[in-house]
Amino acid sequence: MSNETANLRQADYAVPAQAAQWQKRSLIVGVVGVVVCIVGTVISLDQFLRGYLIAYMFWLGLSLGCLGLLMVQYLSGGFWGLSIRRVLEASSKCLPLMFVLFLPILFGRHHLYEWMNDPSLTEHNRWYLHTGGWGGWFARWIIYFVIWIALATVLNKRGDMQDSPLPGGIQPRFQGLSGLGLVLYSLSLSFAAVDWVMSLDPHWGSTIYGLIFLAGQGLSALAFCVIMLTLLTRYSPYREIIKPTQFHDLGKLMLAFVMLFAYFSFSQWLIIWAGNLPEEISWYLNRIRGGWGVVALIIILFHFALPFALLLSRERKRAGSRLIGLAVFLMFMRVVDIYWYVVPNFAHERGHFYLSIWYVLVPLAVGGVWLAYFFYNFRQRPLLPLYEPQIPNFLQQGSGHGH
Amino acid sequence: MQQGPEEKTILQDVPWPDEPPVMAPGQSFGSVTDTIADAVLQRPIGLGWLLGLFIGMTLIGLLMMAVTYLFLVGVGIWGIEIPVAWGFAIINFVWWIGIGHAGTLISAILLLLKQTWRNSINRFAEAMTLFAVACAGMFPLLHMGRPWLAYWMFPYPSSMGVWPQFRSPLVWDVFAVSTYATISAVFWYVGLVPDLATMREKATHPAGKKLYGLLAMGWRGSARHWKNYEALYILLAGIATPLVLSVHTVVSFDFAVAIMPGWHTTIFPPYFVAGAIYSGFAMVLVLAIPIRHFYHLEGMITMRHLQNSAKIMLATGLIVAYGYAFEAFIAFYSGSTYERFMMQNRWFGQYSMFYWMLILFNILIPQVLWFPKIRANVRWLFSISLVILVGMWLERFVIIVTSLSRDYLPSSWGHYTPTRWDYAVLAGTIGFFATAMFIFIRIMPSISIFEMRALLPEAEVKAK
Amino acid sequence: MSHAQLSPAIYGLLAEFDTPTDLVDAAKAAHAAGYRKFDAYSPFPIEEASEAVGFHKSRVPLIVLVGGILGGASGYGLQYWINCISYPLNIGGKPYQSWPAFIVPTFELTILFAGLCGVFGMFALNGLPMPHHPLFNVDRFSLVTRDKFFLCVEAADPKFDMDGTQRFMESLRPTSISEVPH
Repeated sequence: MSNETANLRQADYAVPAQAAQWQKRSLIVGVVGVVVCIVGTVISLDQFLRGYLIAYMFWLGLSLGCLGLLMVQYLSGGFWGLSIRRVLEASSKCLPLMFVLFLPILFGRHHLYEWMNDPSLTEHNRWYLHTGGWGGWFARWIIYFVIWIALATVLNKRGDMQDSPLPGGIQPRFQGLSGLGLVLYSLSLSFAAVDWVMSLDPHWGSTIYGLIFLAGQGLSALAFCVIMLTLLTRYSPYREIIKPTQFHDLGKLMLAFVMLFAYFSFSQWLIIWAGNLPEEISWYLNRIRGGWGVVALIIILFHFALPFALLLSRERKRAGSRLIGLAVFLMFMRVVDIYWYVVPNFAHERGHFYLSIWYVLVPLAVGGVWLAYFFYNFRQRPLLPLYEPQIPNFLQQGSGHGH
Repeated sequence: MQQGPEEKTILQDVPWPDEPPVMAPGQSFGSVTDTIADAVLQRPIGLGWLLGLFIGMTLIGLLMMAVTYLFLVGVGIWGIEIPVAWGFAIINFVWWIGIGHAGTLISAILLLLKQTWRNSINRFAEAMTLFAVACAGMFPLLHMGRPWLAYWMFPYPSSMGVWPQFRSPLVWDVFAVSTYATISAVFWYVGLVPDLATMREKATHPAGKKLYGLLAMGWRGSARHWKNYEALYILLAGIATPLVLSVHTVVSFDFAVAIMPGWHTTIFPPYFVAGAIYSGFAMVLVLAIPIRHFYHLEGMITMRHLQNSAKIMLATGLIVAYGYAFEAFIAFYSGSTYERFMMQNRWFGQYSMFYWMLILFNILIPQVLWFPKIRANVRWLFSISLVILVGMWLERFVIIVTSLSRDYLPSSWGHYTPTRWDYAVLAGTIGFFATAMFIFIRIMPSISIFEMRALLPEAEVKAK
Repeated sequence: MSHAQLSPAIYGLLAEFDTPTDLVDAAKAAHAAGYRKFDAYSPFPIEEASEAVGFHKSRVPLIVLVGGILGGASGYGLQYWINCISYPLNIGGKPYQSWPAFIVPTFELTILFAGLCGVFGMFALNGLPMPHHPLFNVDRFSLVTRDKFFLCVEAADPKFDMDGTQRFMESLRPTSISEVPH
């Protein structure tokens, strides 16, 4: 084992050169997108900001989902996390970027959040939404990002330690930190979802809301990992290392998250539908009436039914080339779902279907920026933490069948 | 379960160098078989076992008495009274069925996740599921008032021309619980068949040989049979996983679909499921720790099993805590006066003592499981598991009794005091459960023999 | 075919092995030698053994799928017929066809049918229960439920002939070979 470790050379596990190309392309999309966005703020500030909130919740969700998955794979152990660990780490490193990208929401808050302008809307929950004017809301933004960036930084630092031989063979421990981190992440994300999305309609509340966002983020993160793994497997060294089993496991996890998301969403719907209380059911009525019902149906069919049926197939789960299309599609459906959560909150869109070009352009623009920064992070380090104790076993199981 | 050669590695957990093994070293196909089978076939009946059985049977006697009196007089012998029409019976129902869920979780979900450490605890955990579901199933029947008409709940062409109405979660419960009982039973039996063949060959008493032989159905270990068997086993695991989640989800719908403050909240399904697994693993530890001690199975139920169970308890306990936190937060956030009052009533009302005990037992004390030293200590694990079992019972008490006793209209408020018959039925079902477990470990192999054989290093087929 | 009639007295020849690897190798050799009516027996499932005896695809998944679809369709159909056609009741102003509510029993019945079809299907495909089988006439075969591995070439195999098969089986280096009487 130790011999094998000594034989590992970082150069053999470098990120393929093509990643520089991907970074460049993302950057072009990002730069063009930012220019278009600036135009957007002039043409229609309101619609731009709504599109921006959708984009922000999606790309923040991806960064956080990857952070969460990073901690889950440290806790669960197993090889499935090794091949994607560096993808997860590089995504979690995008959280400082997401902190900066919050500024448009911060400055545009009066255009998004009705209750910011009209304190009478929050008589019942002023203690939370209006603590210190909007100061509480502002302070919570800072607290969330302090938690998230701190977790990402510490986990990445410890991950870095495994790039070189460790003095005295002492391995960094991840389990306790990851356990605590998951607790902090679930709580902070749930409150962030209340602050940034649920409070768009300050009269409505649902206790499962945070869990729905957590499951959605996990799904985005897994889909993104499948995409990255498929792309990387086209080039050396992953071409030789990654076997169908890796995709099979990610495919199974993706299926699990598709089901989990559907389960949470259906639970919320069934309970509110059956109770039929005016203050609760209106949230759904705004999202079913006036054309929104079609979007709801699309979400049921294409966020759940179709991916569920496709992912039952063992052959599909084992081939990255057959999984990648579905993964891209699932990420798109995540945006549709966030769109369906966000837009029907606004006075004119309640029960009136509306789709603005900005709901499409802004997520693409933010995506370009996010991906460029992601690839920048990703290229800084080898593809695998080479001095992680399980690496020799991992490489062995990968190459063992080649003989 | 055996996995294909290529399948062995990925999701499967890889122990850290300092973690205890799944199986103590030095075992062989024969020794595994003998250790497990002889605990049933060779071991003389001990005094401790007889004493345990005696206590269990005594409690069953109490149950029979309580049920007979209940049938003669009616549910009025219990403490339930409008507005608190759901008392101990429903609390116990939810408690027992939740305990059952860990068995299915261990046998199905951990199988799908290729967690091979499950192989030595899945058998008795599945038995635990069956007996717990049997205990749970009694309560709705007893609670009906006229239990002999229970079949009215099923859709059958009745001469009255009446049908069940499927918008009621209580009817969903009939389907969910009976499906769960059926699938758990066949899952358990299918898993037993190869071991029953072992028992058939090893049994010396002719009656035992006949009985095991009949149940084993002539299993002979053919490769073709194994292939079909494995295909079925993994599929049963695949369908049992959503089933077990659905069962406690439906149980949570019994509450959440009503508009009672404290019941009607969207987080109930996942938080009930997590709570179920929480109490279920506590029961697994309460059973596994004495079984491995008294039957000398420390080589098969190792510290690794206990530690992993403790970790799962910690994780599910935190999900439950998340549920409590968001229930309270949204009660104050949503602006509903009734929701707010419900929370304040839980904290400071007439049953507030139970609420704070619940927080202590379910949330605060189990946090010591964060420490590896505690997870490695059998006594601590056993005591914490007992605490969690009580805590989860209190959770259902708080949900049911505080909400019903203080609903929308102050004019219809009331309170609830359980009678001795409530306690008698609860104790009786515990006796039933214990008796069934005592009998089970004497007549069936309490660890899956063939799956343990497959875990041994020599079970691997070496490529030429 | 004529061979089978020549030796009606026995069911087949049974070779015993100590390790799963030996069993799988022997099964592969028997398949390569042209035998088709033979089977491997082991105390725990061995994926490679069923491949080696030429049994590649189980039909159990198909049965489970069909069972599940039947269960789901009949579950929803039952509720629809009862609550919309036979005995419509207005409950809380909900529509007769309350699909969100009907999903729950539909799901349960899907699982119930899939599971039961799978279990009965598996036993049927395996021809169980079959309390007696010629192999049980060999005393040592009882060890298949403990720690020994067996390969049985059946007399019904067209290639079976007493001496040739016996010689072939000896070439596999088993720990013992025995005749399986009917």
